[in-house]
Amino acid sequence: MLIKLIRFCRGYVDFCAKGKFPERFMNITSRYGINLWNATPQKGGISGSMYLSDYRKIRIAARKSKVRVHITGRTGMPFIISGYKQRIGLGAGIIASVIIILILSNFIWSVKIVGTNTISDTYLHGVLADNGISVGAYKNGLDVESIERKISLKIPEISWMSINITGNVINVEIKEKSEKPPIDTGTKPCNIKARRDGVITKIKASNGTTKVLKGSGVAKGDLLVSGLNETKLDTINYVRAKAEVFADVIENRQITIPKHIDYYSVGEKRANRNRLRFLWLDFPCSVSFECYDHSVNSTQSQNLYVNEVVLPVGVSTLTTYEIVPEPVEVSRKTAEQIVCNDVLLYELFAKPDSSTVKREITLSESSDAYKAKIDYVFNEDIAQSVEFDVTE
Amino acid sequence: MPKNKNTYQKVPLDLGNMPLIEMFGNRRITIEGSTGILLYESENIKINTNKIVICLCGRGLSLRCISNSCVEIEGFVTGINFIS
Repeated sequence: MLIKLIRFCRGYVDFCAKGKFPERFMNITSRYGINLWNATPQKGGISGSMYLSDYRKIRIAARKSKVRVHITGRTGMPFIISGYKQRIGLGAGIIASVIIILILSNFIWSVKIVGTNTISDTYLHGVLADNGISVGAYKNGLDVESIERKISLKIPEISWMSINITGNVINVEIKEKSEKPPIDTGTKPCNIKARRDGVITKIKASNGTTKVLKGSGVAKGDLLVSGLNETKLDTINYVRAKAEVFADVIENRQITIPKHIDYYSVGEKRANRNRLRFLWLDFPCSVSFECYDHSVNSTQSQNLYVNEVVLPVGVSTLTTYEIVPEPVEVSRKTAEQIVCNDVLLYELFAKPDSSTVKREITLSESSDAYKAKIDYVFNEDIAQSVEFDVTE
Repeated sequence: MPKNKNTYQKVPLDLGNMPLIEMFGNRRITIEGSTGILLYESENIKINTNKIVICLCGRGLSLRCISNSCVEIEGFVTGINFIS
């Protein structure tokens, strides 16, 4: 197979040598270092094959052995190339493409990040770019191990990372650290005091002496669990009190909703500006002169893929949407809906650790606005550790 | 018996210029140390070496490859004669 390939690349001719001494012809050619193969005896001569380069040397051998040699077949790359000799552009294109591939293979075409859950990919791309890993960077000059160490030190959430260069693609594998539970590292004795006013509903004290009972009302700053433990010998032990004290606490909020609101919504007008990206280069493809008073932008990037391989060529489209202000009259029903949404969002995001015991909404109307008064009763942990000095 | 042994010992063993013949059954023969082809026919091939002429008889004989000192013959070989 390999020999066939070499013969094809070098090019060979099938010849027929007829004359007086075909054996002498074979002997002379072999003495000149010319290899013959598939030599077959024929009537009055021989036929066989030899390399194209060798065929140019056999004139003397043919004359000495008094044979006439003529070609019966041509095979190989040199004959294919000579067929395209007139088409200079084709050859130039092949050479240019080889040179381009050789040059482009030294640069990074794409960066893939795998294994992130909490760390933002955009942030990681930025950090990688700061350390020299970005699309279009020269890949042979990268010190991957050093970059791995630097990024691991810079982002404490990363427990392990590996940067692999596979061809022109950089694969960044990341393992994130699991979050540590909060550990009380204090050594001083402390009391548990009330953080807010409320009525105690549940006490879970793991250390210290409980000073309040379930159902008792407490004010902000009242002692709930003491850090002083009296022993049987009438001495005092100072401990670090630890407890969870749940209480019903009252909270009031007020929301004002104006009757006339300007809603800003995306209008129908939009302008697209395309840019062609090639490695680190960015060329504008289309121009748009439209300009809006209020607008928002969105960017969409698309890369060219060939057999799941990302090429360093792509188009990014910047779309500018016009924002149109729209005056809206708020009805009472809409105001109630807005208040309901606000209440739900507040409970979900501002009070994630509290459970809602009671909620009362009162909506009043004035000439220019709706006013909502919301009375909550939340059940939440009001325990607060307050350290004290033993000498107090 | 001792007489025969002495006779064998007297045979001179000069293998320096002898051709090296390698056979794959009777289908392929490689001869190293050839100095030229004297006759080339499909039933008979004569190859010259330094000291002897090797005459191969058979059917469908052909030279698979020829180089400066090596010849490879393919075909159905029925006989080999050494002419010195």
